[in-house]
Amino acid sequence: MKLAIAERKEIATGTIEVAFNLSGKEFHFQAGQYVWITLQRLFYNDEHGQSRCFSIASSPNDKKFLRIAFRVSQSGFKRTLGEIALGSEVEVEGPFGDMVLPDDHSLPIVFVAGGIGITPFLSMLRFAAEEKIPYNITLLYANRNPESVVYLKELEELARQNANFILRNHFDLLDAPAIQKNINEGTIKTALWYIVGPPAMATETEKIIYKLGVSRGRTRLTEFNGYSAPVATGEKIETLAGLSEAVLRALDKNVLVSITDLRGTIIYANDKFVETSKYSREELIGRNHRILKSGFHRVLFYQELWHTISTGHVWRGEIKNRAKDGSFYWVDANIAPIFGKENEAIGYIAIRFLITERKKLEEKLEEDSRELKDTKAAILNVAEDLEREKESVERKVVERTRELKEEQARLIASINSLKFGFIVADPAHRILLKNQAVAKILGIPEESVTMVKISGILEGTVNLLERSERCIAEKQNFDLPEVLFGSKFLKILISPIVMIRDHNEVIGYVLLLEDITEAKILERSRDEFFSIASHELRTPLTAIQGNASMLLDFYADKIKDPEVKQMLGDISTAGHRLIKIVNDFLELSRFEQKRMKFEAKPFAVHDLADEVVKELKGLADKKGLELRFDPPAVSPPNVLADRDKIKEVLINLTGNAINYTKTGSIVIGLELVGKMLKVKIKDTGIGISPVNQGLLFRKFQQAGDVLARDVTQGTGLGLYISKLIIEAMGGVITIDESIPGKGSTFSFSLPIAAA
Amino acid sequence: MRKVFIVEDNKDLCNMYERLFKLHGHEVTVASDGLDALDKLRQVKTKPAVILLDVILPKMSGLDVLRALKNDEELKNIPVVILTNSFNETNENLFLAQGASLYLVKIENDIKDVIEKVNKLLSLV
Repeated sequence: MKLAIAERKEIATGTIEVAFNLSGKEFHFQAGQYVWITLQRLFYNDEHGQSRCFSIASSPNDKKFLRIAFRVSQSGFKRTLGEIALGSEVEVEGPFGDMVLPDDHSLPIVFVAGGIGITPFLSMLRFAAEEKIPYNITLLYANRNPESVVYLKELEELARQNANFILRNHFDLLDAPAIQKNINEGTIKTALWYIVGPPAMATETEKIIYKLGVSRGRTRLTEFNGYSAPVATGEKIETLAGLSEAVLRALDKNVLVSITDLRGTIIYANDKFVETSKYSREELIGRNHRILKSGFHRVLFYQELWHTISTGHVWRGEIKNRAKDGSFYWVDANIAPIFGKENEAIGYIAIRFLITERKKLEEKLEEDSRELKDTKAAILNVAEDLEREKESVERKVVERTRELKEEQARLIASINSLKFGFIVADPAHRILLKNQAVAKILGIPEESVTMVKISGILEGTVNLLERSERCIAEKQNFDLPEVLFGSKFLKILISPIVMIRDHNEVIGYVLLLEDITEAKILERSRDEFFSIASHELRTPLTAIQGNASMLLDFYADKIKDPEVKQMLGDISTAGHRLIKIVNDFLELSRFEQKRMKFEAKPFAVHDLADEVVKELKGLADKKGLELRFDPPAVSPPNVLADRDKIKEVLINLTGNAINYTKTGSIVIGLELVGKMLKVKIKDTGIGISPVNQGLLFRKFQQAGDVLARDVTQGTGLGLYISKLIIEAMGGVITIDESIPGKGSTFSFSLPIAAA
Repeated sequence: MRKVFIVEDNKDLCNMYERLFKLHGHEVTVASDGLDALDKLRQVKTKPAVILLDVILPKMSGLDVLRALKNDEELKNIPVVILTNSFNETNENLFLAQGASLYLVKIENDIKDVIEKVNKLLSLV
């Protein structure tokens, strides 16, 4: 009947239980019975290439479900029942025939079974043996099927153990005499007869028992078609076994020998086979050789094997088999077909050498080797990775090192090329970087340069360590512009190294040492130059000028020769000129060193102009020039400036005008322009070309050409000093106009003093 | 005729100023360094009418000589004319504050200016 698959679960490792839903179905089934499941969809090809159905152990414990357990290693089930969708219906054949036993336990029961028809009874008999079935059972068992031998053994055992079970077997057809011989008269007529077997056997038996007077109502007949494969006749097999016996025995000690029929059913097993398989000979005989299958080889392996031998060839190969106790053994097998009298195949002989130890060794070796290979491969992979990584890292390191080295070399070279000493130290005064100049400046061996040493050298002048620590603590530079070190002057700068990235942490300091001795000497010699200029130069100049003047003033009458007089006059003029040059230089240097002091006071420029005109009148007269001051109609306001310095500027500009004018006049004028008073000096002199105008008011510049220079005898500093003075007063000095050959107008402005 | 005391370490200038004052009828005594000057001034019975004092001098500077003079009862009333080539307003003020009567920069004062200014000072004293 068709039953739906309701549940499926793994009840033990490798064992699946499938539950078929029995709802609404009458499925008379008793514990331990064999159930045949015949499903078109479940059919599969066994190693013989035959379509098979299965009998499997089952253990029903409720009325709702038929539960069938099977090993997943049974590949067909695994593929089908194990995988078929839940709810799918499959054909399930219940116990053969109407296996419902009578309620009346006193009724004797006769089972008549043929061939593998025994199987449905067997489980019942097992229950009977365990006194679960309280019937008196007589089993008539006709067994022409060698495969059933194995059941016979068990049946005999059951019969021995159970008084209410009588086994009557007959290894041939069950005929009326045989039945009458084995069952007493009363039992024949009163018993309930259960007949299961192949159709021919079943119907034949039925006829016989009817003849014996058994009523039809007392028979339960189930026809069962077992295997359809051809089976070697018992006669042939026995002959074969007998013939081979002597030969086979010789092999007993060392070689596993078995003979099977064409379907693989074992009909001969030698001692070695029995010993190795751990089955008894009786267990082996009649069983299909596949009971030894280990599940190790694939279906294809067996297909190839069967193909080889079924086509008349000898198959040779290594097979892993499973012994009864579940242990495995390996054999090197030679399987060959056995041919009958008409040259037809009647069975197979397998001669097998036990190679378990070798296989184990091989397996182990293989496993070890595989493991080793895997391990080796893994190690190689790792090593390769590491090597690659290492190479990459090395390459990077080399590259970076080179870069760093180059960078460092550049840095060191730069630092070393510095004239000043360079030290980088950490807060503990450990020197991290230094250059050669340090040792050179301090005059100590390079290897002895430490902060402590340097500090020691400078002790008494400056406490370097303390300064460095303060520099770090206060994050500020310390500039020690002039530190006396022996006969040297050093400039020392201590600067903290602040890591902006790391929260402005100070990680050390930089110390710069500069030998400024030479600079100091230079500075000093410049000062000394001015000192010489002011004292040593002025002193002899004073003497020259003074004596020349004295000669001309007090000893004129004693000088008869006019040429000598002229010479003395030249000395005096040159002396004056030299004095002026020296004074200009001194004044300029005072300006540049910002040592010039001004005293700005309000004063009247027109008074000053009168004064200057008076002073320079003689000079202008000598050249036949008119020099005058044109005062404005209204007296201009006072200016705020240093009168002496402004007088100097006015004298300078007026003097220049006189010097650069051959004929004509020099006029000083005043003009009020906003809050400034403009002082103008206008001449009718040689004028200045526009190109040269731009060069006026520069240091050491003189307007005009070489001739003009000869005429003026200036130092070239006059206008420059005038410019500095006027600008210092807050005014502007300019050349307002100048036309070569016609004359120039210079002017300067001064701030008006507050009223 | 007045007595003029000149303190000047430069031989040329010393000769020149000595000649200048002699030409103008004065009696001249000279000293070439600060200590020499003080010694001579203290020893001489007839004190000079005016002292011309250089600033940069060996052994004892012009300023120290001036201070010593002004601290000397016998000498402190003699007018001192600082005759120097070192021009510096600070110096000028310093010497005037210490009791110098005049501060003349040699190179800026021609011999005629020097004699003029000293004679003027002498006539006032």
